[in-house]
Amino acid sequence: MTVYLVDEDGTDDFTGLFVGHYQQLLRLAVLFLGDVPAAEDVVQEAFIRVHGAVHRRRIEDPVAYLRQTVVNLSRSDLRRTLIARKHAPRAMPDAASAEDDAHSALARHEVIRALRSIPARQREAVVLRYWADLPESEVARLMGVSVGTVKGYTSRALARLGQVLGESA
Amino acid sequence: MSAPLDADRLARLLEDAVGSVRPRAGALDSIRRGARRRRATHRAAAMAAVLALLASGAVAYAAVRGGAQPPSGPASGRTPVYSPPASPTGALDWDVDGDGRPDSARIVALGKGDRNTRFELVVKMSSLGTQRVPFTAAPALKLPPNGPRIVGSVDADADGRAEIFVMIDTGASTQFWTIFKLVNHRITQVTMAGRPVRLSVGGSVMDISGFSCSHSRGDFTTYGYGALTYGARSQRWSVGRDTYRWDGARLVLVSKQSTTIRASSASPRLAKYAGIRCGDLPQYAPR
Repeated sequence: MTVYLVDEDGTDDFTGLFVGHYQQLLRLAVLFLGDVPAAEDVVQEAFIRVHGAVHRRRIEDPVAYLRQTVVNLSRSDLRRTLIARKHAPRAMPDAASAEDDAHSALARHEVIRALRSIPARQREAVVLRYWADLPESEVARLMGVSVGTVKGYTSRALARLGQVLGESA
Repeated sequence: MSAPLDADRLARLLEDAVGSVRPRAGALDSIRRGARRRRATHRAAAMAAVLALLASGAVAYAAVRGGAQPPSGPASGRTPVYSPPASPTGALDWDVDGDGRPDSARIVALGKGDRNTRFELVVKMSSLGTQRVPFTAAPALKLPPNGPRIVGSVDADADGRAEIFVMIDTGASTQFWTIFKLVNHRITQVTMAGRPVRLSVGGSVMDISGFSCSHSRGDFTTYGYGALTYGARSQRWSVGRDTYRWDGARLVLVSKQSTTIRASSASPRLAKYAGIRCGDLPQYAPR
């Protein structure tokens, strides 16, 4: 029973947006970040940002706005995580390290591990291009780079992923 | 040398990896609560800015007229709204390591300037010496006077050692606090859902958050309410309560409740979803 999909004030634009796109955006953020709680935070923040604007009809294409926000927030979240990891105190054996494994089912997935081994920009490019199935021009717009750069990213990413997954096969 | 991965195969592998990821129950409610909180914060910030402008105008007018000094305000050029507190980041004494002797804690900035977001909690313990824990907070500019503040300390999980509560972000009427505790002889920032804990505290008439800790049960509860309709005749509220248990440095969600109630904003039914009820922690960090 998916009670959480029903808005108590009746279905409105925002509820429709949530029902239609939340899950897909959550999965997109999971592929970027490799971590479900972090992805939930990112997607929730994107929806909060779009919430007021949708009600005031200030956004022409809320889905594009949401997708762009998820891409941007995932990037800054990843940066924050890397900085935090750099400055973090050494993990205790049964405290912080256990935390990292809380979502081990996902982390154990071979392709998720492979994705984490390639540079973040290449990861963004292949996920948006091949999983989200967006045209190269849209991927380029979302990433703020040229179509040629996207082609370069995806080509290098496929080569590296072939290598990583080939080795682990 | 391996061949590049086929794009279709990659698409299938990725879909397989995230195919089981689904929205958790309550995700939409969380978003709505967050959106309401954000709007309330923006409104309160705008109101504070207007008040500050009016107050500084009054001070200037008094100066031009050669009138008296403002009654109890700080130096000229500052309004009471933004008056700095007496001590910068706080340096207080508690028993953090549980040896019965007082320990002390303070916060130091790791970066420079108003936009610095990197800080360090330095805890000097009588039995374990000095430990430093880096953490991030809102830019120093947002946090009066110049960065995060130690709010207080209380043995929230009834383990005989005090946890340290630190304000890491603030709006006009909402504050965000985090927690540090001693786990396996190391001071560690507590996490919730895999992230450093960020407790929402306070709010406006329309939207309030708080938390409580229970010594007898050893659990930790966050709660809050937000107005769904707020009229002279009818007021309807969304209220929620999440209960966590302590697991080392983690707060693990045990139960989640949310419902809608009709009540006036002064009703005791709403009051139980507001405020800080955890030892002698204050309702707000001093500003």
